[in-house]
Amino acid sequence: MKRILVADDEPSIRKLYERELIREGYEVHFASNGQEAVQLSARVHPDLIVMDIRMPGMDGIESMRRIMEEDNQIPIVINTAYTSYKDNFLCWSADAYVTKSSDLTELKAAIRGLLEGERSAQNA
Amino acid sequence: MPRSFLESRSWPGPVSPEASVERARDRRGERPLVMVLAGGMGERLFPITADRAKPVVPFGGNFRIIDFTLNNCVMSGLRRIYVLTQYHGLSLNRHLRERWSYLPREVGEFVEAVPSKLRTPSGLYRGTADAIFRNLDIIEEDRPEEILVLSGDHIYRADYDALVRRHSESGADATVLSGSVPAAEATQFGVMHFGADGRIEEFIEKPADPKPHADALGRCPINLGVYCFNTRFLVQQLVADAKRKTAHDIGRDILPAAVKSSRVHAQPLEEITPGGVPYWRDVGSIDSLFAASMDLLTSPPGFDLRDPRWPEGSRFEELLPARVESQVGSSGASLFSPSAQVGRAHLDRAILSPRVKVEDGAILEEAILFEGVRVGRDARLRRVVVEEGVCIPPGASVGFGEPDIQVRTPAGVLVVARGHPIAEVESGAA
Repeated sequence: MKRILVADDEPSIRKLYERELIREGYEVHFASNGQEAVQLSARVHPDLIVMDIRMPGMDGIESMRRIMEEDNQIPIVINTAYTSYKDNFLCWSADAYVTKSSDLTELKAAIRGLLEGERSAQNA
Repeated sequence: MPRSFLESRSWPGPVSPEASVERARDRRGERPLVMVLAGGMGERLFPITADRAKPVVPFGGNFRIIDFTLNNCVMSGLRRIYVLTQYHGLSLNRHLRERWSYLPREVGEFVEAVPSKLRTPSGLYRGTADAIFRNLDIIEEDRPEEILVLSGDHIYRADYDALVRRHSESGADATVLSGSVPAAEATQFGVMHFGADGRIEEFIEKPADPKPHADALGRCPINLGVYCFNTRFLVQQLVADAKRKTAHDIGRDILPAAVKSSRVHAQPLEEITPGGVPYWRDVGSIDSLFAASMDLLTSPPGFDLRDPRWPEGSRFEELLPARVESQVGSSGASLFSPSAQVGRAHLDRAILSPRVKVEDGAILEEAILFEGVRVGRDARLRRVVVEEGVCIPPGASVGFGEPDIQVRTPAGVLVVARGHPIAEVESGAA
């Protein structure tokens, strides 16, 4: 079972993602800020990370940077309500950028694409 | 390997209206940002680099190696400069503060040290590309159109403004400053191979046999480690490289990969050398540092410390050591930095840093004396570098036929460092 780490400070978002991603067959772990995401990433070694940007304390950009220092191969999907970060150079290390929506179709497609398609291409 | 969303989507992505307005109002990005890579360990310069960063190794008496790169920046009108430091960063930081802090920050001009300790958990960059990658926040804050990536350990003179202009006019993604050396010497450099349209088609790092890449005159074009990048292109390359298992080096990893799919051009140094004759030296070893230092002392000098771009009476001119042609029987000049004191001594191609004192009867032949060195009465030194604060006792002799106490370099240079058997360190010396 593929393991996904979701970093988001909104409890309602976490609840929604938990339901939807478990239904997709993933094991899901949650962090409520960037610092927690760094610690959890080191502990559970997720196959993919869904990262919000604006979180209290350490934000998603700094968290992504620290996680990549430990594992530069881990796919990261930036998932934020703001489109403006897309042009931020610090976000370009991410593998996908999905704007937040209550409809998770695009997010789920991005996760699937990264986990199945491109990860297998890497291992080929 | 997962593809970045940059590769899978059209670019540039949507930007919010408020961000666009903010950017339009902003004056950032008007001039290229400069990042000077100054984090080399300087192993081949040991023991000179035992206690100081390689870019602050003294050169030409009153200068440090990095001064030449920074002078090129300032004289080219590029005055937003970050210096990425790593080993012995404190010595470099101190030099930047003492000599380069005069640029007015309030009008957006600065030379600022960025220590690696604040940028990575280990405090060490994995390579030159990693060093820039770890400082993407600086690039994001500034958002320049172009970035100049320079090395802090070469001696040369170049007009970077002309480099940026040519880069911009050519439509290249990256432009590499190129020099040329005889094929036999090219084994030590990154050699470039050009296509018919002048684009770089291949980089060959330290080729065992460079002859196939030589021109009709038997010379090979080499990479001088000076790069002008379109910022977006550079960031894309750095991000992709950060996810690969490479040495994270611009010359070895980024550019060889980039030439396959992007426009990477070369800019010959001779076309952008102010004052004519091109000169470029990597002073990464004791022998190359010594040879480049001796180039200053030939008549006329192989490399003139006086930059033709300096305005008359500028602060740079005041730093110039006095140059005195040698007396009868010698073939070059000597340089005397401020507050050096010389008695009735014989000097033949010597470089004296500030506060050096040479007493009566001393003989110096091809000698480089760092700051605060004392040479005692009747002491004799030939083909040596004497480390800061070292005292050579009266009557001591090095290089005049007596057996050497320590091993010389392949070119026969001896470094008299603190702790050398003949050296005495004066109490209170700097």
